[in-house]
Amino acid sequence: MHVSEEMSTHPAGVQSREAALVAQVADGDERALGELYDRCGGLAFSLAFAIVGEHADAEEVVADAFAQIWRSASGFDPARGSVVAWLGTIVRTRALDLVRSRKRRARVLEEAAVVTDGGETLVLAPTAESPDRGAEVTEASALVRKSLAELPPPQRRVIELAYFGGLSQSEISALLSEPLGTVKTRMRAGMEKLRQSLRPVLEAGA
Amino acid sequence: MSGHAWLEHAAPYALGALDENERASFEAHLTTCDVCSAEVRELRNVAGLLATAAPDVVPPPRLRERILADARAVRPSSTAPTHASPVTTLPTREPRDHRGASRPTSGRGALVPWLAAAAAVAFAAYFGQQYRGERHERLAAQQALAAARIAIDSTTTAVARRDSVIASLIAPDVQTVTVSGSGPSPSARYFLDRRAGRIVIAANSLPPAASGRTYQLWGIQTGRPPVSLGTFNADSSGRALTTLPIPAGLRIAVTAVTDEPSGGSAQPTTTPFLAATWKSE
Repeated sequence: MHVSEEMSTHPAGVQSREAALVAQVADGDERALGELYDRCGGLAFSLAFAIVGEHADAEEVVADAFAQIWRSASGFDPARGSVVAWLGTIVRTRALDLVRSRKRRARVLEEAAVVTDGGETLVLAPTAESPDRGAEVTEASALVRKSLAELPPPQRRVIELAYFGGLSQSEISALLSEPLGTVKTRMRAGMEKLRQSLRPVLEAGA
Repeated sequence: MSGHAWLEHAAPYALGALDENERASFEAHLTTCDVCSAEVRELRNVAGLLATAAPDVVPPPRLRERILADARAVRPSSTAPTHASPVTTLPTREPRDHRGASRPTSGRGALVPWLAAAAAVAFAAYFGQQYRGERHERLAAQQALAAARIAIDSTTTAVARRDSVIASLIAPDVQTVTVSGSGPSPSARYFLDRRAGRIVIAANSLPPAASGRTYQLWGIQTGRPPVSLGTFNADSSGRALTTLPIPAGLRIAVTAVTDEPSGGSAQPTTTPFLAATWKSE
């Protein structure tokens, strides 16, 4: 894969190391798979758990996701996005598939269901940092959490319900009993704010 | 929609939150619009970063071992025979491609079969797949028949099903392939009756599928996507015995099993195992 090109595009960011690992995985390098897991496994597991809500299911999701990565890492295209975005898509897709196949609502929806219309309660509670994530990922994570926390709660909720709950705008509108136009406006506004506040991370590596 | 009102769709699209009809028309627009494509690319990275906001949960240490063990058991696509084929935009497909079983498989989704076929062939080679001569097939059929009778009788399955299984085992043109794992791994014997259009799988040491999951048998015709032959499960003693119909016109070259959500999947979503390769008719 295009390791050198990737490195030169992202000289110092975490993405360059992770993209290089993905390239090695595509060549069948098992140690690279291990290192990729060491750097991203905690993130993958946390994301899976946020969606499925059970340790055993989260484990299945992450094992399946890494099996998919092992088989098809050559499909990673740095031009289409970062490794974290790619991995997140794989994990999220599998996790949402799992909850749908069990006709269960995603964990995030169960929690959202008890949230009042005021939107004061947030879907994702802040937690302490885990030591086993890579330093750069943790740094990005801190900024993402801070940026989410700074969004007006109604904007934050529609974004979280879409990303972690797998809901469409219409479904969110129905769940929250809010007009579809309102949901659309909040989602766009929230994403625009996130784009602005996450600019440092996006430019460093994504 | 005029001008760049289309841009409004980029954020919900990146989040996988566009409703179905909007998603289809926006994807069509994306093929011709660099502005919206660039916007989607950037917003996808924004959405991707949301993954890092999930509250930290530490995975169990065994998960790393499991992933590496799984990887050792399967060679990656880069060493499989179909390496040159474009296996690959698969991981970046839109998450909502997976929503609902009724949605037709997209062009990108059609790449899964290559992956599955490649993995199936690799697995067949790995387990030292062998064809048996005519006489050995008879012998194997008799042994399996005896085993099948015991299995069926012990679970008091319907007579009709037993008759169907027996007919498939002893019909004149039945081909047999045995896939044996090493140690405690699953093994299976397949009986393929092309004339009658059915296949029997008798598996051993196969743990019952997890809650909400099932096993699914696939038939692969060379150069085509896998076709589902049906779903089945193993009993608590690790045995499975199922007769499944083969769709008319399907010329099976490879059969393999995957672990799928209950009800089965349109295309394989996990690594195939118990893969067998078949002689042409």
